[in-house]
Amino acid sequence: MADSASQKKSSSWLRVLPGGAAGSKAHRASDEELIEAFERGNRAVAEQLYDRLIGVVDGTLYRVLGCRGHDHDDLVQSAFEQIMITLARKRFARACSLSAWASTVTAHVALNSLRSRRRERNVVDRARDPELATQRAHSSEDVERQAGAREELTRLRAHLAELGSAKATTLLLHDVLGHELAEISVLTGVSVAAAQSRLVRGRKELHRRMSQDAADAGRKGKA
Amino acid sequence: MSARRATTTQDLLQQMSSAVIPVEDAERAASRREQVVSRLEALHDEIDERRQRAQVRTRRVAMLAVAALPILAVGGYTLARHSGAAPAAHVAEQAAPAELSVRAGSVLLARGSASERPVRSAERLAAGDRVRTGADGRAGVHMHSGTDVEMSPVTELTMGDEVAGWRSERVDLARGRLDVAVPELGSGRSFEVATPDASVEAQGSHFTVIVKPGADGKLETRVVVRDGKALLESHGSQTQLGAGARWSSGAAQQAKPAAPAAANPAGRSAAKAPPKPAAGTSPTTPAVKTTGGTKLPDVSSASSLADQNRLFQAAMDARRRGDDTRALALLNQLLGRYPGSPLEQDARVERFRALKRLGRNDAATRAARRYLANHPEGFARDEARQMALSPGN
Repeated sequence: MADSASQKKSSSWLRVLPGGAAGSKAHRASDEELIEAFERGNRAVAEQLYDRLIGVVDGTLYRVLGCRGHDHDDLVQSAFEQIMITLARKRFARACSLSAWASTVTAHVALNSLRSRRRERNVVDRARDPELATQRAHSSEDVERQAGAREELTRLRAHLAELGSAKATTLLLHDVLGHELAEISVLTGVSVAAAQSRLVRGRKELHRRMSQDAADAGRKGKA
Repeated sequence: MSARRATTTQDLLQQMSSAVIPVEDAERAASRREQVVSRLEALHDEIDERRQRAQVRTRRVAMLAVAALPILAVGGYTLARHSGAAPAAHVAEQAAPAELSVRAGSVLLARGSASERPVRSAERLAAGDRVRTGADGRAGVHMHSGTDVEMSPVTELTMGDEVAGWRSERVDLARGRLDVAVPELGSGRSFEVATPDASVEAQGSHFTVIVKPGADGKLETRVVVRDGKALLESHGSQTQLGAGARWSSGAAQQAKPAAPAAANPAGRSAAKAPPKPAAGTSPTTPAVKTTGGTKLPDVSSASSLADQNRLFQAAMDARRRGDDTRALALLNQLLGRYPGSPLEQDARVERFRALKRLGRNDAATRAARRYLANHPEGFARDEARQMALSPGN
């Protein structure tokens, strides 16, 4: 009886709420509050900044680079350092959300990493990738298709790394990370018309490079 | 094949966009969190320390400045008496964004509230400086960004303020001809020539801008792009001009059947030609002292603060009369001459509002961003953010 009363009492006190543990979100500091705390010199802001933006930073790096490589943690750290430095230098004009700003900064970091990887080894030439060649030699048709798709993505990333920085960033922000042109214009500090022009030129150049690549591969195959 | 490739490229970008992010190993994520947060805290400490050092430096400099103010005032006054230039001119020179070189003939420079004086060979220029070439005069302006501006005879320009946060440069051309060579300035930077009825923005290009009276006597802007591309904005619409393109505001207006002046009675009064010099007056000494086609108030005898108040008040009066072009010119004067003015924030707000009313949306967007960069907590931050995010509206 006592147990039943106790259960009744507890059920009237404890309820399951939508969002569960995310109930603490109600106390989540806004972007403004976070930046103000940073400017006041509050040290705890580093932790809050990390928790707020790690999803965006990690997701952006994964989408642009295609995997969490051995240097993933270094890139995450580098992106956060850049975010903090830009906040300190007041380059973030607060005309957009902090996460949009973080994704732009991270896209830059990821593109730089792609470029340095591109310099280290020529990722486009599939003949130089022995692992992939072995896989292709011993694979079934389905695995072959998957490997082909992966290879195409690798080539796309390699060509993205070779595009001009402004075009590549605009293309990534719009086509991969899903930002609107108006937002990109604020994030990159150019007019909407200029952002649109960069996007169109970036797409054209990427397409031209991919086509050229396919034509070269066809010629090599025939030879 | 080409269409299929385009689809494939777009598909691949789509694949990148919709890639499912795998859940990370919790232990690894926790270890990285610890490592990154600790690095960020250390970086935060460094930044904070640097900030505090900068504050101490600023305080020291301010104290020194206060101590040195009477000496500077006396020195400046003495210098002004001997050279005929206002003390403000020497302060303005510290932030020189450009250098003026005389190529030939007479070239006159007006700085702050001081009257025009001839330039002999070269001179550093600051925001708000007005340069005028005579009938036989030619001059070159080398901007801080590396942009070269060649002034033809009978040309009048005003140096715009450099937008520090967004790193763009501007000159206002009231009349005459400018040949401009803009190098590749990098992301987020541009060079702009503003005329009474248009603005041309470019980087990595070579173009010519001419402002002169058209057949109907009204000032007309002509643009010729010689190399590269330029973004032209006039009467609220934007046009991308490629190499070899020519554009004229007179022809553009004639091409618009339903664009009478009455459609925007307040906005485009700048298109009116400035009063012509009286008969017999030399072209190098116009009857009206103009900047951006507007007459400046006589402020030569006023103090700095009184001058700022007068300029702002004149701009507000112009706005109330619906003369936004004049209001804009006066606000540009105020911001150019007194970048650290207590009225700077109000002037910036009024500036982006005036640009918006004039239909110069892109310029209004840039002005709003500049305002946000300078005053993230400013009273008009919401309005500026809205404008920065939806420039087309």
